[in-house]
Amino acid sequence: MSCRSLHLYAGLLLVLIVVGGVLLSYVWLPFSPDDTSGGRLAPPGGEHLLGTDKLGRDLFTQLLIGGRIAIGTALGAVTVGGLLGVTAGLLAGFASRWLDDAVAVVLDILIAFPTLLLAMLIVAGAGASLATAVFAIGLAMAAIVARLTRVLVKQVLSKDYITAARVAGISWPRIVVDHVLPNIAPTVLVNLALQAGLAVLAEASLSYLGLGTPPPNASWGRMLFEAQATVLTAPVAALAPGIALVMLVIGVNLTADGLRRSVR
Amino acid sequence: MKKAIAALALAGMLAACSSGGEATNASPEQKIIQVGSVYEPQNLDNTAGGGQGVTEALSGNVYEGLFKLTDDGKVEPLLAKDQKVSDDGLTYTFTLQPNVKFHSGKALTSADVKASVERVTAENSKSARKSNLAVIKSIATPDDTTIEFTLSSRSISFVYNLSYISVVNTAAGELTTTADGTGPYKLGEWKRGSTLALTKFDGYWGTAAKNAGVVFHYFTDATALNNALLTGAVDIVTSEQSPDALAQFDGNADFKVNDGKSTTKLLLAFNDKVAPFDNVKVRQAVSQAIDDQKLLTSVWGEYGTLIGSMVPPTDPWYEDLTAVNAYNVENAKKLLADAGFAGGFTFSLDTPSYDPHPTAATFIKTELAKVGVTVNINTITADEWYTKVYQKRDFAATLQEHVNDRDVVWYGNPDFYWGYDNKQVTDLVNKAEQAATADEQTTLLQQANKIIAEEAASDWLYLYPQIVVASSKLSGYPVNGLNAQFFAYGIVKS
Repeated sequence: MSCRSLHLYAGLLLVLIVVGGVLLSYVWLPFSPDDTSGGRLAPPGGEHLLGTDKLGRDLFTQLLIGGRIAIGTALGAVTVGGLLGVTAGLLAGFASRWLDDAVAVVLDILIAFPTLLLAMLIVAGAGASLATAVFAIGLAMAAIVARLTRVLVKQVLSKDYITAARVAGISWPRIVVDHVLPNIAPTVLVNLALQAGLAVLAEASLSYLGLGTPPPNASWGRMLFEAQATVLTAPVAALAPGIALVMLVIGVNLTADGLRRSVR
Repeated sequence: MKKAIAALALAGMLAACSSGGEATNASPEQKIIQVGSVYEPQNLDNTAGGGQGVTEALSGNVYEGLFKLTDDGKVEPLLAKDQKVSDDGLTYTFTLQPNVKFHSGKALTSADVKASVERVTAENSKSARKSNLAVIKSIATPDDTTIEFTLSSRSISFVYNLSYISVVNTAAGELTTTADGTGPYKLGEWKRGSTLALTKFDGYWGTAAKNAGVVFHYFTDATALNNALLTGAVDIVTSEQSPDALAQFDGNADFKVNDGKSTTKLLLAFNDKVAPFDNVKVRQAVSQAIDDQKLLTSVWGEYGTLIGSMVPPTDPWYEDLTAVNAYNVENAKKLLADAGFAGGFTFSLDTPSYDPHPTAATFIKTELAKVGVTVNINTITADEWYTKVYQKRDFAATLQEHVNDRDVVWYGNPDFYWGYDNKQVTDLVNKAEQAATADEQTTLLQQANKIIAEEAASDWLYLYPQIVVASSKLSGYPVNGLNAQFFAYGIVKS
């Protein structure tokens, strides 16, 4: 097995485990997420696979539901970041010199803010909710995607076949659809996949800080925060969401890496 | 051999550093006590919204009142040497202790006491105790050591209320960042976000502090605070925030875990003026639908106490009312149906973002779902709580901890943030205040307390435990967190 496919398959396996858990959660859960009958910090094993939290809720159930938020964040942020980023990048790539410079400056400023700081500023203004967090992370992602798209578009536009297409009288929108997008797609998609992993981490960080998913929804970041005080007496409560988070992020990154190698 | 000696010396130096840097053979009077807390003051002025951290660090330590509240809840004279009360109970005359000096060197006079009281009652004062002192009609200072209060009506809690008032040197400047009091310590350096130091005041009029000073170390994270105690960076933690960290101190001979009494109550406070919580039956239903014991166990394990009303067991008018509106889901459903909410309703619960409120909110949401009531948890910061809930009264229900003792009287004030307006309770509270004897006051407040419990004016979820953990080298520290005060002058470190 080549190194490329090893990365890809290992990554896909990890992602599939998490996605499988999330899909499973829609058809079956060991307990209702609101069921507090488990008793305070019940140890793992027996009825509760991973034990219970302070309120007596089943941790495995919480973990599965937290997976929904993690995957949802990744998809949501990639959608927001992809749409906004590619659109802005295309416009900048085609724009006049003056407009292009202006867009480049705005993008540089946005990128200069760490993703988390930008997200915190937006959450502080709009209030903490999952939608705000996803939008904020998507926006930070859009700046990076836009900058990449802009460079790629410029490269494609300088090619002879574009000039040929223009000479043949083909309209700009047609050229974008037929030539520009297919040529930039592989690189942009790989980049989006990498960003998806970062988005999951960013949401977990925001929730850990109390700025992401509000309680009682079980985001993995929130679970980590809640488990912090009991880490000595109930370590599994902190380990489980931590391991799940690492699995998903490494899985997404390996997949993206595998894809990148095959694009080359 | 030389290497071994060097290593030992190094280890010794490290050990000395970890215990605060002072020499290990110093006598207790030369030692500085390192205190760990999560309550850093917002500023140093209690009348400017400084928060409970001001009380913890400064009350009794830097500032003193005419009276003080002891750790077991008694009111004892402090700066007042003796007192006379007129027969009609309307005039209180106090003589001040002689030879009392502020830290700046200025001598204490009755004018300073007058000015200090007037700071608390002033228009722009943010003191929560302000309304308790509205009974003062005038203050006279016939000479430098005598102060005379004239009241508009009898006030049996007057002397008790005076125990909260810090006597300050109002000429000392901006009291939000400096302090000039008469206490056994003077204010040292305050490094915001980190430490606040108090050093022994040599010119103190009373019994001198038994240590050389105190440094309060402020933490935002309870885990970090406990680690600091484990490593010896602090000697004592003023109040533990969760029971789970206690496992590492329990049964460890180097530490002592003290399970003291607190006056801090966790409230699910309804907006009693606005539908649906203006309806007694709805409030009773919500109170009965929540299993308080289960919540207490979730948050505090085996610590803490259930209360059926606003009165903690340390108040003289305590009665066990936990049976009133006790957990009863079936009855809660019936009450909701009677109130016209058979199909349930939805409300927004304003939840402060810090522990234990999010946990409590999650629990309440789960419990109320069982009776068809939907809770939307709205997480807000402490500042937002103050403006949105406390000032603008823009809320349906909220979670909040109330730290003071003897604060059931706030249900007699229809203008308080929860808007509980029951004429009978207001009358009882007013009459109790004008009672001639403590027994009469107790009887009247017990009646008021029973009414608010039956009407479920709020839902009193539980009484916090007060857990002080200290190095076993320490003695003489307070263990009951009454009103969040922490008198440090008696602490001895062997």
